Amino acid sequence: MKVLRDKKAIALFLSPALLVYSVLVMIPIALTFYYSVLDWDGLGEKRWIGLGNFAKLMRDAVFVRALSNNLVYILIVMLMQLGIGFLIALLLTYLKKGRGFIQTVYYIPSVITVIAVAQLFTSFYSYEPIGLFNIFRKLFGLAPIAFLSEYRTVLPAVASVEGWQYIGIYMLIFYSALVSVSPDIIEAARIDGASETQLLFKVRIPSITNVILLSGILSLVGALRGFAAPMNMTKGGPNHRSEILATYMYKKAFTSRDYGYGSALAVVIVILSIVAVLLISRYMEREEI
Amino acid sequence: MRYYLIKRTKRVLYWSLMAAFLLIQAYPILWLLLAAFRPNIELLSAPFALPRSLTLENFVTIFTKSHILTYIKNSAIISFFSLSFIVLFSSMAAFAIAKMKFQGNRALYRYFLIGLTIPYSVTLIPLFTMFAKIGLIDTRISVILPLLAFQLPVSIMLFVNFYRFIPDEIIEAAVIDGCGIFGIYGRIMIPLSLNTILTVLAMNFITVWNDYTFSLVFINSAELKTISIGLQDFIGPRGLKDWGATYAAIALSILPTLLIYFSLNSRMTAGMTLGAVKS
Repeated sequence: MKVLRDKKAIALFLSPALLVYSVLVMIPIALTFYYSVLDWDGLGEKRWIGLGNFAKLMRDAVFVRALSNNLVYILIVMLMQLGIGFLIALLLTYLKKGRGFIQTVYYIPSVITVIAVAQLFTSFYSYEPIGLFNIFRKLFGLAPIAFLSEYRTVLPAVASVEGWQYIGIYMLIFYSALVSVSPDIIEAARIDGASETQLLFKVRIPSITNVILLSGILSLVGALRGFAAPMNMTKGGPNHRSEILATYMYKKAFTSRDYGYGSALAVVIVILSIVAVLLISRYMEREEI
Repeated sequence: MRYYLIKRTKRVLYWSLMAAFLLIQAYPILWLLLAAFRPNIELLSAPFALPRSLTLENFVTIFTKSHILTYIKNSAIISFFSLSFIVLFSSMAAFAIAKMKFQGNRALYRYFLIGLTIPYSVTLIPLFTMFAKIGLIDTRISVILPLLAFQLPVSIMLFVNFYRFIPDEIIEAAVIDGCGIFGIYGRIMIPLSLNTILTVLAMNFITVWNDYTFSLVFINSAELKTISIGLQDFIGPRGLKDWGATYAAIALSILPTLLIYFSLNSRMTAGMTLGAVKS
């Protein structure tokens, strides 16, 4: 149909979204690469220093810590979201009544602001006045811990906030995938004498590998966006023990006004995200989007 | 007998697991909503004991002694404008991508979808310098624009997924009846996609209302602060925090998203499982 090939109309429909998206998302990424080879405070003169910022990164112990923290952060978030999300979804498939109610309740944390959740957990982690987690520790005869000031506990404590908050989303995705597995196949396997465990690993999980893969990618992308919880709860402290790349970048750029160095940190985040992009495009290739 | 025992143990195990997960997931939110109504002194002495008295004092405090209403107003204004443009721009682009014929159609769609994977943090420095150059820092526009841009990919995806379901025959019939391209978009696609629009609105409202990063970086003045940033007002120097007021403010700030969620529950979860993307 000719009307659907009208070039002017196509341009008109596409240009607002294309313009806004390109100028405010894609061009800034290109600029981030450009700024990363500069020595620049954002106001004064830009000085080209080649890979100087990156050489500095390699020698920067805080960067190395932030990078390794970030990987641990991603790992904790993904394990909680995918692991617990899958477990709950699986349990729900055996439930006959009240499923809707439980799903609704599980999903609630996903719709509220991270800051609210972060504040809430801050009081749960509290040492003085004694927080919920320390009340539990005392019940089991353990000494209370200042979760957010101990080197050992601060990173898992902060990562758990984001991990916990979005469990509901993955529960929901996994659940709708699990119930979409054809009942005939499951019935046939049962007749053949398959146990519930065999059913799970030989039938159910293999039939939803695509959804598991997609959820993994989503969870990875979400974890890579993590920033608000550590920023709000600890600002990366104590002594950078909960510092991740985004919080370090924020401080370098907007507190120390070192735009070049901050951009070099952002480039590292971009590289991590490229891994996610590659995974997604592999997925799209398979799904033929 | 033994079979019966195993079955019973399994049942007990199942229900205790269910109960444990439900507790982990629901307790914090319930506790928060209750804490908003508890006197400060109780929250300081025995915050996790069963409440002995309830009060509206915390809400009186936040309404009279804080700027919470200003913050809510700012978040509402930002949400209104972001959402309007998100729906308009993404439905237009998705219509062209899903229904119109041009070269590079698929590549363009992919170009948009890349946005799903980009963390806000990598654009902050360039956006700041851009906005500073044209005098947008510390305006509501500086928060609206990046939120709009970052929410386009997921919204376009939801619209494309829906438009592909609309049979081409409907469009053909409309063309035969003399309908132009804008008529097809405005009088056929949009009315047909009201449910999708609702999904897009609900999902994006959650993200936009909850925004923390862009408000943190681009807004300085107190009278333009959004609710996520405003919540930090109640954190005083160590030990001086007004816990009761904090919880009341948090409860108030999550109220709009909870209302949207409970009224549009099925639409939103449909969007989540289809788009399967979070903020």
